[in-house]
Order: sequence, then C-alpha cells, then structure tokens
Amino acid sequence: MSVIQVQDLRKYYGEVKAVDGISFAVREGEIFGFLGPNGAGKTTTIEIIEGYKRPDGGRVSTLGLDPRRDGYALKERIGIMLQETSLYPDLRVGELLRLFGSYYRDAVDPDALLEMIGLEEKKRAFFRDLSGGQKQRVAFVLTLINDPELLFLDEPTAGLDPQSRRAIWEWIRLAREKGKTVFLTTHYIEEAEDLCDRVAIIDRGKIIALDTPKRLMADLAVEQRIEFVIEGRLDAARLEAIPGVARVMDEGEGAFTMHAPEAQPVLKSLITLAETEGFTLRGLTVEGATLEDVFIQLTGRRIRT
Amino acid sequence: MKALAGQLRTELTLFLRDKTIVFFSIFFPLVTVAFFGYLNREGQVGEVSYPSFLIAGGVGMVVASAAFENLSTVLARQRAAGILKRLGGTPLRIWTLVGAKVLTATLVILVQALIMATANILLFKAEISGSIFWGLVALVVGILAFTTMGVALAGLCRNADVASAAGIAIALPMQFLCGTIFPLEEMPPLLRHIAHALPLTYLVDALRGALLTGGGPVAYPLDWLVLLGCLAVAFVVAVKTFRWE
Repeated sequence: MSVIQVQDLRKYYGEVKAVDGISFAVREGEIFGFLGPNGAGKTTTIEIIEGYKRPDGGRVSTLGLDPRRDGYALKERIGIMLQETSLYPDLRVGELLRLFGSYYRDAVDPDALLEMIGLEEKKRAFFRDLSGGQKQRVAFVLTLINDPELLFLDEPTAGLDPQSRRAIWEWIRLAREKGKTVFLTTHYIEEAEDLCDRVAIIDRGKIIALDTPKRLMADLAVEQRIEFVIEGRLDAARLEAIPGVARVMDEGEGAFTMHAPEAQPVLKSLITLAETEGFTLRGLTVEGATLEDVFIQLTGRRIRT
Repeated sequence: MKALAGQLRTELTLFLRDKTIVFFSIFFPLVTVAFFGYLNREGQVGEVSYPSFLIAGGVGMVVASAAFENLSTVLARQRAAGILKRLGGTPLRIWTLVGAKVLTATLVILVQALIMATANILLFKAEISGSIFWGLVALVVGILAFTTMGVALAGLCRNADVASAAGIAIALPMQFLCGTIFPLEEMPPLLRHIAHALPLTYLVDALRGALLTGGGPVAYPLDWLVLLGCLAVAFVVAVKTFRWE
C-alpha cells in the first residue's frame, strides 16, 4: 500500500524548474530516501508533500489526504524534521517536548523519548545551550511526540559526526520496526546505501533512478573505482586511452577517478604509463561501486560538488 | 484547548525569561508616572487633576508599546528564525498561536495598568471617579485592536528588522501625540490633526472617559467605533498576511 503518492509533480520559481515532473510512491513501512546534490529539488519536494508549499502542477496524496486541503488532519498523523533546527532557544528541552505534545490529540511520554536519545539529564537544559548534535537529536525526537505513522526527515544527519549519525540511523530503523514509514532526504551516499530500503536519485528537479540501493549499484556491479593523485600534469585523454577504462573524471589538482570493469589490467597499464611518463602516483585506491558512482554514471557529476 | 494552554504557558514563560522586556515593562510605567506625574502633580486638566488624567494616557502608551514593539517584533523574529515554520508542521492553528500571544500581552498590560494606576493614586492622589468596569472593557477592546494591528504589521513587514523599525516608528509618535501625556486641547492644531488620525487617540479617550466619567460605548460612540473598525481591518490584514515562514 502506498503511503505517499506523487504524480507528475511540478514547482517552478520563475525560470527555475525546482521540481520538474516527479512521480513516485512510498510504500508502507519502508525507509525511502531522496538522494541528490544541494539544489536538486529534494527540500522543495518534501515540503510540498508535507503541505508547506503549493505545487504548480501534478498530484500529491499523503496518507490518502491532500496535504494542502486536509493539512490539519494530515499533521496530526505525521512527524516533521526540517532541514534547519529552529526551536524556541529559551525553552528547556522538557518544556519543548511538553509544548509540542500539547499540539496533538495524543502524545507520547516525553521522558521515554528523552531516554531513547540519551538526553534525560538535559531535560532542564535550555535548548540554546545544547550542542549542535544534541539540538538535532531533540529536533528528531520531536517528530515522534505524536506517535506518527509517517516521518519526514529533511537531511536528518547533516553536519553530524559519524557517531551521532549512526545513532540517529538506529532510531530511524527503530521507527521502521514499529511500523512507521520514513521519507528522508540526504546528500550522504552512506546514508542512502546503509539506511534506505529504496532510494530515488534526484538531480535538477527530476528523478533519474529509483530502486533499492543494491539494485542501483548492481547495474554498475562489475565496475571498480580507481582513484589517485599525480604530481605533474596529465591529459585525461591519456587515461581514457587505457584499454578497459569505462570513464575518467578529472577532479582537478592532479586528482583522477577512473571506472573500469576490471581493475587489475587497468592498474598495470596505469603504472606502466606513470613509469614511462615519469610521474608519481599517490593515494592510489581501488573500491567497489557506490551510489555516488551511480550518480556519476547518470549525470557525469559528483553529488557533492 | 490543550494547545492553547500549552502555547499560553510557553508565551508567558518566554516573556518572564526575557529579563530586558520584563524590566522595561515595569520600569516604563513607573518612570512615566513618577516623571510626568511629579512634574504636574498640582496641575489640572479641565476639571480633573493631572495625575488622574495621566492614568489612561499611560495605559495607552503601554498598549501601543506592547502591540507594536514587543508582539510584532517577536512574531517577525520567530518567523525569521524558522521557529514558526516548525510550528506550522504541527496541527497548531494560527489563531491558537496568535490567541496565546494576545492573551499574554493582555495579562502583561493589565499588570502594567495596575502598577500605573496604583502608583498614581498612592503618590499623587489620583482618582478614578468613573467606572472601572467600562475602563476594563475599553482596555480589552483596545488591546484586541492594537495587538491585532501588531500581528498585521508583522505580516506586512518582509523581515524582522523592518518590523522592529516600523514598530518603533509607529508606536513612538502615538505614545506622545495621542493625548497620552499632553492634553490634546493644549497641542498646536497641526499636531492635534495628526493625533486625530492615529488610533491610540481613540483608545486613550475611551479609557479616560470611562475612568473619569463612567461613560461606555454610548457616551463615546466615535472612540468605540474607531477601535472596533481598526480591529476589523487589522483582523483581515492579519489573516491575509500571516506566514509561518
């Protein structure tokens, strides 16, 4: 069953097509991710589905409701974490949870939520005095205060250290185990790969791929990624000429990324090339494909530019 | 009701935690009374003593300040900070949020009015010879009209800085021109004309009329009509311009 249904969604800002004909459906109980670079249209799309913004075209149904017309009924059943964490700075953490609980017909016990995110001892701390990571945890846990069916998380772990990021991933998985559906946006490859059941890759207002992370990468499964830095100058065409190389990206300042189905013969040729041309290879790494490579293959650009 | 109670508790808490605003909310009426009341403690305005005259004017000044300086600026600032946007993601109704803010302003103004009246009565033997009941009704109608204008102002202003500057630019002239401290009859004609174009003049007049003569809407129809008219227009503008972000 689809929890979110989006058909040919469009949102224009003057000449800019922020969302340019997007269609997808989010299934009940899954963690669905929007992966794409900044400015791809992720936030605009999520805010239309939440009911913040009015679309210029297309149809949206969230939990079977029209997010603009049935806004209050919808908000009773969803939890929202915005990209920017803005809450009353002069309220204490416990007061914030109590306040948000008062907005809903039924609210979860705030203490249990604080215990889950490990901030019980911060209950009396002012929100403004929390660290960035702690603020983000509070913003996250507020999405659960009404025990919602559907969570919207716009870049939930942006700017967090790896440890805090993994903690939030755990709580998101816990929400899924309790039967909640999660729709999140991210520009972190690992977040999409490790956390999401399905990922839509979005670029310039369009969905360019949508599947499970495994299947998205399986299309590139035979490819290896070879990265290195050289001292001196080298024309990327010389690398493209190596037999077995699928793609070369010149990252600037002597850094290159190559994709190839088989790493071994390419490495051999690369080392031979380095010896004959007299340049040194530094930081040579070989890795399997990631969702980043899927993005590169589809757009010719990196997600984080 | 649960949301209104929760929001009201929050607004009161936030007000009490803002030490600067709390300080000025008490300091301002006291200084106004002490300074102008003392200067004219022997003065007469028509048939009443100046300190008796000053009570309504001082309360009017406080209402203008609460609506245009505190409420609209704080609202615009919370909107700019993204706080309102997050609230817009919950079932909280706009009018629950605004209602809690108006109720908080009302409570604060009532306390300020009490301070002002008490100080004037105790220090300078001011008298309330009219009707406290009609005075309170006029005050509540005035607070509703002015706070709604404050919400409308926040909606009309693009950002918090503009709202803050506009609020002061609107409140300050009213606080001095509208028959608050100086009787309108003693002002130059030009200033008197300006005063008649400003809504605070009508609140102060209605309030003063009630406190000194005991008259309500029947006795001062123009004042009450202007206040209710301002309330109606401000309500429409406030609803049309309110934004969560």
